[in-house]
Amino acid sequence: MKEFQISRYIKKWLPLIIVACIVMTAAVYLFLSFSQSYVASAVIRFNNENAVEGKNPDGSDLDVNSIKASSIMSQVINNLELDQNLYSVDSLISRIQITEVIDEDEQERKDALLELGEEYTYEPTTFIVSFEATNSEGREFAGKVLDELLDVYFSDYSELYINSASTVNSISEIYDSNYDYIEMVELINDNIGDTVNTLSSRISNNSTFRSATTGYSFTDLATEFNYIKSVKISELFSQIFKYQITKDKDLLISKYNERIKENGLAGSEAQKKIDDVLELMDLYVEKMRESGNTNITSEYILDEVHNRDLTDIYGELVGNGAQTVTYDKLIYSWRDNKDTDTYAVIGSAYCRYVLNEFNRCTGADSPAPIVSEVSAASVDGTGTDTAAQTEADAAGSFLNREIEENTSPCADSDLTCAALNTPGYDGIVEEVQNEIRSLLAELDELYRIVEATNTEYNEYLGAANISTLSTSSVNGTINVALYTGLAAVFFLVICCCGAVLLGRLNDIIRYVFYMDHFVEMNNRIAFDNYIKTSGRKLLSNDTACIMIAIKNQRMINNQFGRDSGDKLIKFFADNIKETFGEEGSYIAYNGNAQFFVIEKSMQMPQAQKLLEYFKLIVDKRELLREAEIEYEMGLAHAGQEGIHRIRSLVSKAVANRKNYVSKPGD
Amino acid sequence: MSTMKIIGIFGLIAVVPGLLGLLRLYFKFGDSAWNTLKRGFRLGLSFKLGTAVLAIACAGLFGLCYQAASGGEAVAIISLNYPDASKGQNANGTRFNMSEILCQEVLERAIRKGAFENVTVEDLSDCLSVTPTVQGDSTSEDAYHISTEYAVIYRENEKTAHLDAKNVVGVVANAYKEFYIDKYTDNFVALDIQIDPEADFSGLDYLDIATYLENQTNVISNYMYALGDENPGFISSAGESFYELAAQIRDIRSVQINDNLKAYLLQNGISKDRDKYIGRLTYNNTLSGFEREKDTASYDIRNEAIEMYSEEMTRVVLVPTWDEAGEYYMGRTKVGIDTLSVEAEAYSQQAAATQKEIETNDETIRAMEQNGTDGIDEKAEMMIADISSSIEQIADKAQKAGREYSEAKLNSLMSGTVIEDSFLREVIPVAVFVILFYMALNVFVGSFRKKTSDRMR
Repeated sequence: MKEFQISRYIKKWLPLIIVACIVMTAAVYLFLSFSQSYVASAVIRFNNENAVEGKNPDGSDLDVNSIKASSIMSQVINNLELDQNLYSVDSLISRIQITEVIDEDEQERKDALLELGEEYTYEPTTFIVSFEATNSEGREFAGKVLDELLDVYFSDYSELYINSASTVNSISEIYDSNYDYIEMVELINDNIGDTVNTLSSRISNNSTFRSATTGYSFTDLATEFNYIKSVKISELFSQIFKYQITKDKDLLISKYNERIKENGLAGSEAQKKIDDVLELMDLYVEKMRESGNTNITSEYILDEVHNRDLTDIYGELVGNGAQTVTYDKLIYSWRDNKDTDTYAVIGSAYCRYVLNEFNRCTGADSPAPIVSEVSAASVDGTGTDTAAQTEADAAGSFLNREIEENTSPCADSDLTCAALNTPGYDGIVEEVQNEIRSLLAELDELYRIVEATNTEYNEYLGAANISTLSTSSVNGTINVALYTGLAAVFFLVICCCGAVLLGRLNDIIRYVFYMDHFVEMNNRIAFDNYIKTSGRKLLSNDTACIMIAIKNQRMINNQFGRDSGDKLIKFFADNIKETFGEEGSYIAYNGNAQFFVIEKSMQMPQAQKLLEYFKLIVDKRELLREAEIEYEMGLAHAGQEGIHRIRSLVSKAVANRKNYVSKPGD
Repeated sequence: MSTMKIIGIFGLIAVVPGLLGLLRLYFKFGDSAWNTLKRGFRLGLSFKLGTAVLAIACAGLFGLCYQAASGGEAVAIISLNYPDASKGQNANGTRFNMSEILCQEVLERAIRKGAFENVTVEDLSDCLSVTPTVQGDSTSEDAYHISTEYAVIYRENEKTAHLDAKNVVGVVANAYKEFYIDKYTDNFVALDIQIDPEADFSGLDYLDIATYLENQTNVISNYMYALGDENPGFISSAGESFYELAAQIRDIRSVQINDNLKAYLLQNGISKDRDKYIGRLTYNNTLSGFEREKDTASYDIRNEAIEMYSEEMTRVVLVPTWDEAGEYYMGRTKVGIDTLSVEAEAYSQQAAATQKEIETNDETIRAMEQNGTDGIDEKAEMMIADISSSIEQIADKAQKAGREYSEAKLNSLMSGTVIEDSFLREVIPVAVFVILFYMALNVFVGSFRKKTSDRMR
C-alpha cells in the first residue's frame, strides 16, 4: 500500500478543495451578509442632582425605560415620516435596548458593601441606548432612528420633569364657538394671564434663554402678552361694557345669574368645610397637648440627619419628599377652603357687576358716563386716597353690591339699552367683532412663537440634564469579515481532512482490490477498469502504450524453481516502474508475467529509447544470469499509429510485440 | 458605476486568466501547489512584448473607466468647531443630531443653491450618506467618543449622473452650514424693528404708543445685555460694545420715553380720543379691582391663618441638615406659618402692584379730565416719530453688532471641506492593474507553451 503522505492526498484534491472552499466561503459570506443587522448605540447620562437618588428633577422616580414609551416612538415615526404600514410603534419599540452602565468604582463599592454584609443600593445614571435595524433597512436607518429617538426623549424629558408648565392656546377656535363677546374676552384674558404666569416661571428659571429658531426670549414674549392684555384686552372690555355688546342679552343674564348661584353653592360648601376643619384643629391641639407633644423646647436637637424620604422598618419607601405634619395639613385645608369661599364672593360680585352693566339704562341718546366701581370706592372727591378702613369698607360694599333694578322701558326689551338707543350700534358691534378676530389671529401667531420657543427650550433643557457621553455609533451585529475568514479557514481544514481521509480510503481500497500485492502494481481488474474508463476518451497524439511480457516464465519456474521465477517477475516489475514510472504514466500487471504501461505524454523516439534502455537493463541483470530469458515488448504510439482509443492502442501494442532474448551471462 | 465595482470587474479580468494559467500549469506539470506558484511567478515576471502591450491597453481602458467612476463619487468632511460640539450639543445647547446633515430641508436648500436640474430631494437622498469619521464604541468606557467630524459621501446613480459629484457634496456641506446657522445660532429677528408710526400707531392712543415703544427698547436692551454678558469685550466695527448699545437704548427709554413723552402726555392729559381712553382705563380699573380684591383677600386669609396657628403647635426643633453647597448646618423645623408667611408676602406684593396700576390709571384719568386735549397732538407725534427713529437706529446698530459678533463666532463654528483626489490615488490603481494584468497574461499564455525539456532526462 502506498505510503501515508498527507501532502499527496491534498495535492491530489487541491483544485477541488480550493473550489469547494471558495464556494462554501462565498455561501457563508452571503448568508452572513443577509443575516446582518445593525445596532446603533449611544451612551447618555442623567446629570441632575436627583438622578443619583434615582429621581427626576421634579422628584418623581427616574424611569429610563420611558425612552421606550409609545408616545415617544410614535413621534419618532411621525418626525421621520416612516411608513406606518411597515413600521408599527410596537415593532420599533421592541428593537430598543437600554442597558445600565456601572463604573468600576461603583462596582468595587458594591462588592465591598456586600462583603461586609451591608445593604447596597445604587441608582445608575449612565445608560447605553441602542436600536437595531435589519439588513434591508441598513446602518443609516439605525442611526437615524436612534438619533431621532434621543432627540424626542430629551425634549419629552424636559417637558415632563423640568419645564412641565405648559402654555396652551385654547382660544384659537373661540370665535366660532357659542360664546358671547364678554365671555370670549374673559377667556382670552384668563388664557393670557395663565400664559404670562408660565412664561414668568420660565424667566425665573432661565432669564437668558433665547430661541435660535424664533429669535425671542421668554421675557420678550411675556412683554408682548402683557402689552396685548393692557392695551387690546382692556380696550375690548371697555367697548363691550360701554356699548353693552352681546349676542343674546337674556342668555347672557341667565348665564351670569347661574354663575352667581354656583359661586354661592361653592362658598357654602367651603364654609362648611372651614367649620369642620376649625373643629378638627381644636381637637387636634387639645389631644396633642394632653399627650405632652406640644411641650417641646428649642434646645431639643435631633440626633441624626434624617432621610428626605420615609421608609418602613424593611427599608421600603413609604413617603416621598417633604413630610408635612398633620396640623399644617389642616391649616392649609382651612386656607384653601377660605380662598374658595372668598373667591366665590368676589366671583359673584363680578357677575353682578356684569349683570348691572348689561341691565342698566344708558339713556335715550348716548351711554351713561362710566364710573369705576372700585376706584370710585377708593378715591374721594378731591382725588386723594382715603384711609385704609374707608377703602376696606368701600371694597366690602362693592363686593356685597346687589343687582340694580332697571325700571326703564329698555329693561323689558330683548336688546340692551345701548343696542336700542346708540346710533351706529351695528358698526360698533362689527368693529368689536373685527377686533376680537384680529386679536385672536395675533395671539395665534404669538402662541406659535411661544410653542416654537418652548420646544427649543425643552430640547435645550433635555440636553442640559441628559448629557451624551458617546454619540451614536452604528455597528453590525455580525463581524462578516471575521466570520467569513474563520469559515474559510474552517472549510479549508475540513476539506483537507476530507481529502486525506478519502485519499487514504482510496489507497486502502486500491490496495485491497486493485493492486497486485506481489509486484506492487495495478492488477488485471484495475487495468480492465482503466481501459473501460479511458475507453470513452480520445487519446492525445502523445499517448504511448507499451506491453512487456516474459515468454518463458513457465520454463524458468520449472528449471530454476518457482521462487526464481517470481523473482524474475519482480525484477521486471521493479524495472518497469523504474523506467516508465513517471507521473502521469499508468502501469499494470496483467498476470501471466505480462505488463502494460500507458504513457500519456511521450513521443515515439522517447518510447523507443526507453524500451532500448529497458532491454539493456534486462541484459545487464544480476538476477538469473545463468538463465535465458525470452521476453517480448510491444509499442504502439497514438500519433504514429493514428489510433486514439485505448483498447485499440493496447491491441496494437500487443500486435506490434517483438521477441527478445537475453542470453545467459550476456 | 462605483469605483469599487470597476475595481472588482477589472480585478476579475486580471485575476481570472492568472488563475486559469496557474491551474493549467498545475495540471500540466503535476507540480505541488507551491511549485506551481513559483513557476507561475517566474512566468509572470518574464518579459513578453505582446502581453505587455495588451496589459497596457487594458490598463488604459481600466484607467478610463476608473476615472469615469471616481468622477461620480465625492466626499466632504464637515467639522464642528464650537466648544459644545465636544459635548454632542449644537451651538444653542440642544442635542446634536447627525441625521440632520442630510435632512429634507438641507437637501432642498442644496438643490436650490446648486441649481440641480431634474433632481428631487429623494433622488439626492438616495445618493448621499453621512457617517462620523471616527466612531466610538458604546460597549467600552475607554472607547466612548463624541464625534465632531462627519463625512458626507456622494455616489451618483442614474438620476443624478449629470451632476458633478464634488460640486454636489460641496453644495450640500454649504447648505447644511446655512441650515445650521439658521436653526442653531443667534437669531436677530427680535431686533428687526421697523416702526411706521402712521401705519402701526393709527389705532393706538398716545400712552399705548409710549408703552409699545418702551417694550421695543426692553427687547433691544435685553438682547444687548445678554450678548454683553456673553462677550463683554466685543466691539463692533462701529466701535460700540453691547453694553454701550444697551446703555443707549436705556437712555432712550428713561429720558425720551418716560421723562419726555410720557411726562408730556400725562402732564397735559393728551389723548387721541379722551373719552374712549378714560373709559378704557376706568373699566380696566374695575376689573383690576376684582383681582386686587382676590389678592388682598388671600393675603388676609393667610394672615388670619398665621394668627390662628396654635402657639403650642409652633414649637420648633433643630435639625442637622445640609445646604445647597452640601455643607451641614442646624436648621429649624419648618412649620405651616413659614409657608403661609411666604404666600402672604407674595399676595401682598401682587395686591400692591395692582393697586399701583389702579392708582396710576386714576392719575391718568384725572389728568385727562382736568386739562386734557382730544385729537392729534403735533408735539407728541413729533416726539413719537423721533423716538421711533432712534429706536430703529439703535436696533439696526444692535442687529449689525450682533451679526458681526455671530459671524465672528460662525467663522470657526463649522467647516466643510471637499476631499480632492490626489495624483497617487488616481495612478496607483492603474499601476497595480498594469502589473497584475501583465503577470496574469504571462502566466496564462505561458501555460500553453510546451515545456518538453522538463520531461527529458
